[in-house]
Amino acid sequence: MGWNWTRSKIRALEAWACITLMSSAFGLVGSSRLWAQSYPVVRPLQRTFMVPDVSKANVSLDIDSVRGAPLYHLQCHPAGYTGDPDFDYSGDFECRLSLIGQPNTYSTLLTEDAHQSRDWESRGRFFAADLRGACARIPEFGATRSFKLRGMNLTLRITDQKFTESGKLTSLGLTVRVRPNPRAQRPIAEVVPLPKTGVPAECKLRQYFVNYSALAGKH
Amino acid sequence: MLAAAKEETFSALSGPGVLFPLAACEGVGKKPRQGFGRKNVALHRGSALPNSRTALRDRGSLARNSRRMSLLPQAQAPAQTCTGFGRGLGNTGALAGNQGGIPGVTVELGTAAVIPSQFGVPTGAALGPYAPNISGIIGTASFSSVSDVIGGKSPIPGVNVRTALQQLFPGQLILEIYGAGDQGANAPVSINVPAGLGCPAGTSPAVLGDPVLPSPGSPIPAVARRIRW
Repeated sequence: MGWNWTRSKIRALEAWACITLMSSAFGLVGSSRLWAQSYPVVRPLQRTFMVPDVSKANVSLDIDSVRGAPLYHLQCHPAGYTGDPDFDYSGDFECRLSLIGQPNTYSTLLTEDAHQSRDWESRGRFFAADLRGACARIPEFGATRSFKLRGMNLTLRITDQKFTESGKLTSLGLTVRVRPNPRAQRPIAEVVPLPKTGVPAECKLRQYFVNYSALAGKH
Repeated sequence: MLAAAKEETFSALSGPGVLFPLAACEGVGKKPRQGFGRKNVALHRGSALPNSRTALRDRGSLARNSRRMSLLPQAQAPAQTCTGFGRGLGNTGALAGNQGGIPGVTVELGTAAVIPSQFGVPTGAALGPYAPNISGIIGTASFSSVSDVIGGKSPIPGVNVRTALQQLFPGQLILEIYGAGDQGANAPVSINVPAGLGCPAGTSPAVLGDPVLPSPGSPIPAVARRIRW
């Protein structure tokens, strides 16, 4: 009886070990499949554009692979820009990132929403209020915003912004910085949560940005 | 949006390389009903939801205005009512409170997202001056103004979502009302547009006096149609 009990215990242990090993193996397969979708390594770049009249902003820049193949197209325009029929620009100044040589599904890769339903759903849209005073200094929602996606870090930094007396944004500088980041594996931008405290009301973050943590349950 | 309808529209994979809608594509391939009847339709009052009643009450005066319009110079033309068929996309209202695609306009429940080119203008910014004065009903859902532009992820990779939806639902007005349920394809539309805008795609000027007839084959018994020989 005691021998039988020990033997069945050993068999149970063997079965557990087998299941565990198989699970690990499948896990590895899953991981390798994820890595199989890794993105071409981008060529680092930093470039500054001066925009003397934001109402006519026309920033255009390609992001290439280290081998020189164009991968992504970044363009920034004001609301109402009609030169890009695939995107409806809004805000005072909005940047859009799209694929080159591949069909785009998302209207901008800067979106953080896997179920994106509006072109403006990204931190690539800038309003004058975001770029003034304390609002401009809010990390990721002010004048400097970084996006982690597709094996890179893309940073958009607004400088030298000028306003009319009524607060209208008239001119700015835009510095675009791209660096490889092999850990950024999302096809669209990683989610950056809205700051919960310490944000002045005039920054209107809840109005200008999507609160993805609140949105998650509503998909 | 991110809503049920969007889920339906974008979640299913059907056919090589095409994210094909489920319920959102109901009626794809069917000809819009306006093609075989009189284009002018009126909604059956009994089928309207309570929140649609105000708009229904106002339709008479708006339709009278549309008749008068032909007698006035274009610049003085008042608002007009247009009727036809459309695709009413569902929406959870999750983005309500955000600044939408119309400059200076905050998205609210009961307002609509549209495709500007269907109204004859290229962008949401160009639609802005008219947006507060566009209202109407699609199926059983009403909207009080236009606050946003349909956009985002496309059901057809490589084709922007506005073009894709018009390809999937040819000849229909595409409307997405914040907080409203999916109205399906070929849903009856009655829309009020201000002077300066013509009737949007999928609709034509309403005319009073059309007798109300049942709508054979329509899942929503709200369509009245008169056939003119």
